Formats: sequence, C-alpha cells, structure tokens
Amino acid sequence: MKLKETLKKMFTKHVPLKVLAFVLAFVVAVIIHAV
Amino acid sequence: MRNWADVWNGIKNIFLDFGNHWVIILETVFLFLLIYYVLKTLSENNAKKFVWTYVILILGVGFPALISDHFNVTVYYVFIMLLSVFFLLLFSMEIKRAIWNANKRSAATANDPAARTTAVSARAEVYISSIVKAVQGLSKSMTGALIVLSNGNVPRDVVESGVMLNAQISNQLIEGIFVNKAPLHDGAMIIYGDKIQAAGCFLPLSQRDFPKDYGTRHRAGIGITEVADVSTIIVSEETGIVSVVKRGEITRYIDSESLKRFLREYYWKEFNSEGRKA
Repeated sequence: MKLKETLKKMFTKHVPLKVLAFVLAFVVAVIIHAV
Repeated sequence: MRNWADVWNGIKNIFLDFGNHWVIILETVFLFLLIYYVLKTLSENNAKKFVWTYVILILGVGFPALISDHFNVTVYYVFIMLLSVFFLLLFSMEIKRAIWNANKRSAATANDPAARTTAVSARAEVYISSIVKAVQGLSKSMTGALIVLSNGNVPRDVVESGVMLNAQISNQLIEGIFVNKAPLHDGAMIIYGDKIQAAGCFLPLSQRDFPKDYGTRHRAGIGITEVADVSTIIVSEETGIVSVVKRGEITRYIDSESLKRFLREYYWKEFNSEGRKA
C-alpha cells in the first residue's frame, strides 16, 4: 500500500518539473557523449 | 571549430552504437536527480524565475561546447555542479528545514489527508484570530509592537538575541509581552507557524530613507524583510497605526480584514511548504 502511494506520488507530483529535468539531463548527457 | 555534420554524426553515433554509449543512461539518471532537486528547490521557494535562468545557463554553455574544438567534458560537468551548488546554497536554510521535517512529514502523510487539512485549517484560523485580536488591542491602547512572521529563515543571531519562548500563540500573551515597561516589550516577537518562537529580539535596521515619522521600530520591521524572506507586522506607539511589511515594502493603515488576509497568506504558504496542505 505504501509502495503504491509512493509510486503514485512519484508520477503525479511536480510532473512538469520532472519532465523538464529529464529532458535537460538527457540533452546534457547527449552533448557530453557527442563531443 | 567543428562543422554541423560532425556534430550530427557524433549524436547519431550515440544511438547507432548504443552498446558503447550505454553509460549515457546512468549519466541521465544522475543528472536528472541533480537537476530535478535544484528545480524543485527553486520552484518551492518562490524563485520560479530562476528555473529558466538555470536551464538557459546549462544549455547556453552546452551548445557552444558542441561545436568547439577545445571542449572539455570535465569542465562542463564541473560547471553544472558549481551552478547547482550555487542555486542550492541560496536556499540552504530551506533545505535544512526540509531535511529536519522529513520524518515529521512522512508521519503526517500516514493520516487521512482530508481530515488533516481541515484540522490544520481550523488551527490556522485560531492563530490568525488570536494575532488579529492582539494587534487590534495593541493598536487601540497605542502600544508599540513588532511581530516577525518567520518561515524558519530568520538569521540565528537575530533569534538568539531575544528570549526563546516556544509558546502557544494567544492574544493575551502577545499583548502581555508588548505592555510598556514589560522586560521584552522593546524588541521584536518572532512567530514561527503555530508558536511564538522568541521575544525581545534585535533586528537589523533598514538604512533607506523614510519619512520622519518612521521610528526605530519601523526601520527594524523593514530591515529584517530586506535580509530574510519574512513578513512583519508593526503597531506604531505614537499613532496606533498598524503596518505590514513584505520584501522591504511597507503598507500602512491595515484594517483587521486586510490583516487577516495577510496572515492567511502567511499560514497557507507555510503549510504548503511543509506539505501539510494539498
């Protein structure tokens, strides 16, 4: 039950920020590997 | 200087030869955790304008680096780390508070959220009405008062300059502390959430130019909002006029309804930051 709540919170809280952070992290990782 | 075809080939190569670049997944996860924590800290502490500054700075250094011949991956990593540490240091107090409250928060979320929100709301209304009642009494009796509404980020030396109380908020106690000739009446009272944290505290004075009728109490009430993200309530000893100060801006002639709104804003912001209200 606790795990389910944690997972639910993980995908419902601060979603735009998480998307932005993931996109930025991926772009930075690609930049680092592309050079 | 590299040409765009080289850059594009470099990017394409990552995905075509993923076996040699699988470490990109680990790097993305690590960078995601770091960047998300910085963005969350900025957005939860009224610094949303810095979110885009942070994003633009990271990309702004990254893209020129793609076409530069002298780009060093380590330098870029160090730049991202230093930039993140810089933004996190701006909110070191808030981060410390979040860590202290982590256990409290997880215990609170175990209860029914709807019931908890109602209970917190009811309690906040009791504190608000006690403070408003006290301020009205002080204003009526022309008793000077200076109340700081803290978010936990009042500098420690300011809190320790007074007497620690950690007392429950009540209008009688607030009025009693500011009665003339009472030992603590001259300093500021610090309210932190549901407690009167300290009284008789010395605040830094604002050095700006103000009208002559602003005394030391007003300068202190404005001064603390210039150095910390707090609000203050000031009752003038000469006129009984109630003023509120936020981010160095003073608003005078506050009636009880405006004061209630001001306090509600403080309490809901506080409860939000502690995760007690949805």
